[in-house]
Amino acid sequence: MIRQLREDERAVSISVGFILTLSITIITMVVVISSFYTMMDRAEQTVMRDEFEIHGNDMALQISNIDTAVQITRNSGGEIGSFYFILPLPDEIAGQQYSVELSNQTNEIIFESHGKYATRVKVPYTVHETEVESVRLYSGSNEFILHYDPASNMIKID
Amino acid sequence: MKKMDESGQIILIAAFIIGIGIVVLTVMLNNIVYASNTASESSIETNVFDYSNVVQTTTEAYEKAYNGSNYGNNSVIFNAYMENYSEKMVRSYSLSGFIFSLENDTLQDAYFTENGLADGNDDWVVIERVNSTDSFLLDKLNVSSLGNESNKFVIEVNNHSGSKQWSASVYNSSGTITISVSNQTTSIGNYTSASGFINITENQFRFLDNTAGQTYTIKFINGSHSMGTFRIAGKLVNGNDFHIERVHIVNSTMKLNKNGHLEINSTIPITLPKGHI
Repeated sequence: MIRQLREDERAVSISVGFILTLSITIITMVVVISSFYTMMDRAEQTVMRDEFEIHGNDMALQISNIDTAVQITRNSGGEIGSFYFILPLPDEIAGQQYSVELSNQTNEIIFESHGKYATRVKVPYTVHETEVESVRLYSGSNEFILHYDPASNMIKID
Repeated sequence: MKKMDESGQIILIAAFIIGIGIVVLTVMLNNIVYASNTASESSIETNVFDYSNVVQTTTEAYEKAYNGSNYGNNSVIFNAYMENYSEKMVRSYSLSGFIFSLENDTLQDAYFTENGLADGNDDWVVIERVNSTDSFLLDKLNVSSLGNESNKFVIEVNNHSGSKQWSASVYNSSGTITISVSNQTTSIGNYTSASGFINITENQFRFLDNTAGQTYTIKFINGSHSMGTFRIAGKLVNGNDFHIERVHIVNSTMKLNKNGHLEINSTIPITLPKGHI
């Protein structure tokens, strides 16, 4: 009886076998590719945050530099006529545009891409002699210029 | 039939190799994306130190030029020294990528404000932690720019706890330079100066009696209401000598530019011959 079943191939269909194999292959491929995409997406956000931190620290340092220069000049009884620094910020980071926000409420520089919380980076800055103007700017428009305005005693970014 | 089964194993191994290849390629691609986005132009610059150095060396250059040109009287020597300094600074700063420029200004008579300009800080501390004063001179007091009794220029000496030890008010009383001196409790006297010269350490003003054995601070109050020169020298509490002298000021404008993406432009009034300890 068993021998008969083993050799009985009436229920075996080549078409069904092919469809089953194809389906399993497609499902496996979809799962593998989507997991790769997720991995790439996470890597992109990690890259962005790293980049934002580098540029944020650079900006915080320049803000401190301007503040210190103002202090040095005031201690000598003088005045800063102008102080500007062109920030080397790229139009896109990891293929995405981003925003830079200066907040004088929290004394932070906030970078963010497409409003995604996972890409948000906050870098603190410190000033003693000057104030920093709160502003939100978007990449890709123009070059970012960090400058000191002697009339209002404020560090601004345009 | 057996041969066909072995072929299946080869296909399986090939599939594994292709799979591993895909993984390796993906990881490599990921690394390329990462590397290409690393901040290649991170510009962590310490330009503020360069600026601080420029301010300091320029101040010292002016002081040397002034002293070497008979208190600025020989303007040819003074200007030649500053031109030479400016050229040397341009050359040495160009090595680190900076363009330096200095705009020379003429010597100006000074007010008794902190920076010597009419709009400078009116009330300021000239020197702190003084142990003794050897010389305290005011000269070239200009009666026409001197305030009247209600806008008098005051020299005040306070001890370390802030209480007044000695003070002198200098004012224009009907075209005469009048000095009204008092100590912490009583008036010492009223004096006049026809020449515009006052030696504060003279016995009549009793500056030395009232400050002896004290650690004190010398302050100028209402400095913008008087023009003139001053010289203070003596010893600090730590035993070091001090010497501050202002005859003229010069408004120096200096500019630093680096690669076109950084520019600092500032104007600093420099006290001559010696504005700092």
